[in-house]
Amino acid sequence: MTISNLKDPLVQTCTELFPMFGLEHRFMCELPENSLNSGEKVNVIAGLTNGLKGNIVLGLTKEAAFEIVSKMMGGTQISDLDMIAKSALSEFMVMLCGNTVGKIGVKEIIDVSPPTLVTGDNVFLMISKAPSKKLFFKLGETKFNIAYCLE
Amino acid sequence: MDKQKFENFIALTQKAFLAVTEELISCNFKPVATYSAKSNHTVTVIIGITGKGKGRILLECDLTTAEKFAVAMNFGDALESPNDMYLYMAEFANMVSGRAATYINNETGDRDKWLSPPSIFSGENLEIITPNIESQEVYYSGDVGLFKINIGLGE
Amino acid sequence: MAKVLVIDDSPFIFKAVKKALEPHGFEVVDNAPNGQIGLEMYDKYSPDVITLDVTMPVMDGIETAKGLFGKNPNVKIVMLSAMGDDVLMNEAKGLGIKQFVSKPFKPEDLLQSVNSLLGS
Repeated sequence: MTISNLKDPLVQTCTELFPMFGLEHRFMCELPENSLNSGEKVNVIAGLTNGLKGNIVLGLTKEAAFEIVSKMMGGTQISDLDMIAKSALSEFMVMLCGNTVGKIGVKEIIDVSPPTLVTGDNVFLMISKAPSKKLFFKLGETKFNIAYCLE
Repeated sequence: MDKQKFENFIALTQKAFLAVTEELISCNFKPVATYSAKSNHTVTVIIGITGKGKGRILLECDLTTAEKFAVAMNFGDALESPNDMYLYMAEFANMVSGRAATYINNETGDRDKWLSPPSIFSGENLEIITPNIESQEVYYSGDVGLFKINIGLGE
Repeated sequence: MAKVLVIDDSPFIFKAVKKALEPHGFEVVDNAPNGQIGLEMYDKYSPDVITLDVTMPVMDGIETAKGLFGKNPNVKIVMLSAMGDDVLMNEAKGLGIKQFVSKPFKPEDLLQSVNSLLGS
């Protein structure tokens, strides 16, 4: 079976994961993207291998990153992405990807590589030589997105 | 991660980097002790690793070096679109990590390492971190510029 | 003039194959960026030889090879891959692929593999 779309498992996982930490989010839409795209200030990437090859990138504004980390840490005020905050975002991505691949109906094992955080200014990214797809979400007053590609 | 296996993977990745750059653009890279990108606009290719020991390989250089490298891969011809630099760097990183994984897999006689497709990030003041895994960096200098290879492997 | 089809998602590889083979009288007819398009292009061009990447979007090299052998059991394929480990090689050999070249390749290595398949 060829899997070409992760929209449903990703949206469903978000629906389960975000409320677990008291985060209010809303799925807006999925749009096709070029292979080269602009990134966010905070990007968390994990690779898929074995039963399914691809990449998933959680793209966050700084505000969204602070909000997620704050809620994961029980409401602690966050104003900087220090090592603990980055570790928390990495853990969040592990949960996001782990639950998503669990919802994909394939017999083969799908492995997820450890999440890597990329922060910076004027970020551009190419997660596949082929066009990718991006899911857009609202998170309270701010926003985030999830870009993915499957090969 | 077993220290000896980690050291072996680092050595094999370096061997792959040197072999691929020599075969691809006939450039001899030499190891150097320090790395300092010439500008704050850098390019990083990330390839995820799974299997026995999960991690990732990062290849980093500044934008000018990446463009020079891509032109060299393009047989000296100018690049046709801005996308090409990203495509060529992805292909290059794929070759290096693919060769390294092949060395490992052939040593173990099994599919010990699986690789995700390369993802390429460019930007200013990029900071890249993979929490909770041990990593080691090596630096190489060649005619086209400086490269940083960061290898991280966990359990 | 023998026709060569490149099935590979990298424009660099297409250019490298052209540089390696065209000076020796081969016509490198087109570049399919994935296996699905590669199967369509096989019908369109009826190439004498195919260079086939392993990891591609939409349909990978192993599945593409199965499709190509389904169309023509005598199809001539050179598999090009950055991953050249024994497990992959054995899988490809099991399908009937006889020539493998690792990326990056020396032009003479690719030429030798193509000539070997064509029996010249």
